[in-house]
Amino acid sequence: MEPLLRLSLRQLASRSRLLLILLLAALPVALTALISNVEGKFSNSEFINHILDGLLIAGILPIVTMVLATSAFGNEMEDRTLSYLVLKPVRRWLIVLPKLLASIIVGGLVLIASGVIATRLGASSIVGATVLVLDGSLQAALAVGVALFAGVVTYTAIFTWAGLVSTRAIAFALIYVFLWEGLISTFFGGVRYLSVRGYTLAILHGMDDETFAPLKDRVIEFPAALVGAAVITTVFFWLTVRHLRRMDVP
Amino acid sequence: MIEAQGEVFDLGYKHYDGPREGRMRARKAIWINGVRTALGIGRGWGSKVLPGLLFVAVMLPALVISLVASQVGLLAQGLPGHAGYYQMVSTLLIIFSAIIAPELLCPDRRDGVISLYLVRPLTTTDYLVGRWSAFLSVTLALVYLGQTVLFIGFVLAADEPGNYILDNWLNVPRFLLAGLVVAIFTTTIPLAVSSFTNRRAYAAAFVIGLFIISVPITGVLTICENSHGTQQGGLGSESGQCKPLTGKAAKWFALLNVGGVPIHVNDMIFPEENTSEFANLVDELPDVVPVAWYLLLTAGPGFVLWWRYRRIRI
Amino acid sequence: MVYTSPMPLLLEAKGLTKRYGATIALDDVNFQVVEGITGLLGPNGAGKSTAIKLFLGLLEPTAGSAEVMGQRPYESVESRAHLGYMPEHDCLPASITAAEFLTHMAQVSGIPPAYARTRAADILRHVGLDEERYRSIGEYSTGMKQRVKLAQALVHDPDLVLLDEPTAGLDPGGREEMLGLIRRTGREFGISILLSSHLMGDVEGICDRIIVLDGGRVTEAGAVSLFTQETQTLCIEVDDHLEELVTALAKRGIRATVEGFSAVVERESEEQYDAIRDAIVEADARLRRLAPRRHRLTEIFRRTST
Repeated sequence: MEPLLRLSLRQLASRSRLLLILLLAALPVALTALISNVEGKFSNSEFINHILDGLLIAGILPIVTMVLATSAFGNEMEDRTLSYLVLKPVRRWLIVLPKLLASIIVGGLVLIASGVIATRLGASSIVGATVLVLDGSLQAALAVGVALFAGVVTYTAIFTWAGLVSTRAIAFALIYVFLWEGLISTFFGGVRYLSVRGYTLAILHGMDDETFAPLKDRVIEFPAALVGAAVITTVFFWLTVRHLRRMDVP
Repeated sequence: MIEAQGEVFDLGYKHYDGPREGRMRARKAIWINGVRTALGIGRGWGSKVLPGLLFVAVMLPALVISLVASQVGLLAQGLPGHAGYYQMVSTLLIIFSAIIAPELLCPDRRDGVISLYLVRPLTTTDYLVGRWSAFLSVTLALVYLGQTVLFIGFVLAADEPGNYILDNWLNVPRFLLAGLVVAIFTTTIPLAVSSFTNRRAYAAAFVIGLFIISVPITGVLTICENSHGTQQGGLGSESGQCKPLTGKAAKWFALLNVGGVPIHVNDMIFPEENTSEFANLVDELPDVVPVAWYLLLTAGPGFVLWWRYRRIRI
Repeated sequence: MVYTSPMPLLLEAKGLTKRYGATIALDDVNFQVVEGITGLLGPNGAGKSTAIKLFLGLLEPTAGSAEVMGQRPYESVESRAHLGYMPEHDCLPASITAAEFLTHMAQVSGIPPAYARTRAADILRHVGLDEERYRSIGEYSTGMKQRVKLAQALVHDPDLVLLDEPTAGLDPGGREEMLGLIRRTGREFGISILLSSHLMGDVEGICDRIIVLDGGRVTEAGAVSLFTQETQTLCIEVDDHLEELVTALAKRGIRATVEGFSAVVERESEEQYDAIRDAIVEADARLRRLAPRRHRLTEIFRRTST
């Protein structure tokens, strides 16, 4: 398991891909720093709507996890090296797990760092109804970290499966994220129960409903989000293992 | 002649003495092949699912609006018409272009077919123009179909169809022109991005990322003005006052929203007021600015595409 | 070295030079290619692919010219309609059928759709892919893909095809089949061929003429028969007593060099044969073979590449 994890990490960390991911992750921090320094003020809802939800959770989070997770198996298929892995006398779930972990480690580290730093920066300049002192911002930062972690794990489970079953995984992932979670969920609220973005926002709100009060009207219940994220992750993990067990390895 | 084992009788080689139409035929072939590739014609079912799905998704709003119009009447408040149609389907159109356009360029380079093209009576420019116009045609067909459905829907929903046509026929040339503006934009950028990677998926992710991420970035940089108007999903704003950066420069920052660039030109073509995000900000700028910005964002990627293929190593 | 011929010129390199930065791929090369099958022989990196790409107009010469039937394809786009090209690398799309691909390629060469379809079917039959033409190319074996590559070069009935390492990556059986197809293309279809290879065996059997490239220069050029002419060498192969034989030959004034199990002597006169016979008897060597040696391409190639 450990050598597989190390191998998977090395495969993911190609220089151009890392650079692009770091660039994306730097955006929320840079924008928050710019606005809070130049304007001197950043309202709570503005920060949450634009930076946290719009930029990070609805945009950068799915794109980064998509690029990482679909290539976990996708590149093995394209390079026809999957058979080397599958021929090892290792249980199939022990092949899937390190692949997942590698994407979660790379994606999670970068995204959580981005979210937490942006939140600390944003919180220090937030004015308005909910003025945050340092304590509050720590709690908010923790909420952001946990919510992003849940988001990364759930997306990774889905996209790793997609990368294994389809050569066009990113296309379908893009459609799921930006059509289903982005567009359709604005018309049909129920979609949030089947949307990783919905879970992420709900966990954010559930962990600190004071700071993230502006999200109140568009989040599902906290427990539902936790259960939803856990169920989706488990189901897709199982689907990936099952597919790996049944497929004809090229 | 008796063949012991029933061999296939060889007819012998025959030289071709039919017509040869040279470069013109080659250009047409590249165009037709581009259209077929975009729509997945002549390929397996897997290649038809995506364009089919996206085609339906882009058509759906036109059908829904037509149906609603026939029920509640044409003058219902807030019912989008020809002017708002492109804005409404712009996200879908971006997803469609980002995913399908790379099909026309990336596999040719990845599989090496491009070197077979360029030894035939065809130049790099012929090839690029063929591919570009093929995807433009597909996109145009898509958006015009939607607008046509909408127009027919409105005519049928009108109390006096004849009068409706007489009063509103100008919408047809308007949507034809605006459709061209939108389609050129959503064709050129994804194709330019496709010239940088052999992997279709990365091109698609990059294009969608560019369009999607530019929305909240523009949102942040234009906070002040937007807080009065249509802040997305917000509960209203706690800060009503303008700020040093986003106050004065907001109208310029509004141009950063890539997806909105052709929509601003669309808004100039139609007389209706556009109340969508950032449109109110761009309205403060002289008309020539958004038009120039649009031209820059189509000619620029167009040049990049051509330049990338000039230096292609086969 | 320029090889000239009374036959009409198909290709002509005049002072052809191509540099990539500091590397010189072709250095002031002159040669001509006429009707028939011509082999472009040389080790890897000799400049064969570069020469072919220059003739196709895929590259622009640094100096000199690469003319095809009097035209320069880099400048004259239309002239490429009568050329075919089979690249060394993969060049086939995976997701469409061979029939569809060939129909499309015929059209890109300027043939109208209705004709293109029958041309595609005809040429696929000629390369032996009749049954499989409605399967996706992605499912083909290496040998079948190689035939599709050849077919697309022939689909528009060119006057001349340029084949870049057509046997690369094929197993011995596949290689024989491909060479057979190329021979048929040249002899029965009457399409002239320039084929590059680093294997002498490829060109020796099927080519009329050979141009040897090495280090970006033409080192030899001429008809295959010139390369395989008998030389003034006799080869005496024996089972044993080779050393005694050499001594016996020396006693009779014949200098012999040892190569493997053979003594090789320069042939000077008919009487020599008697002396050699006597020397064999004296040495009590069991004679296996006594024959004039033919200059094989192998040796030319060995000469050029060292």
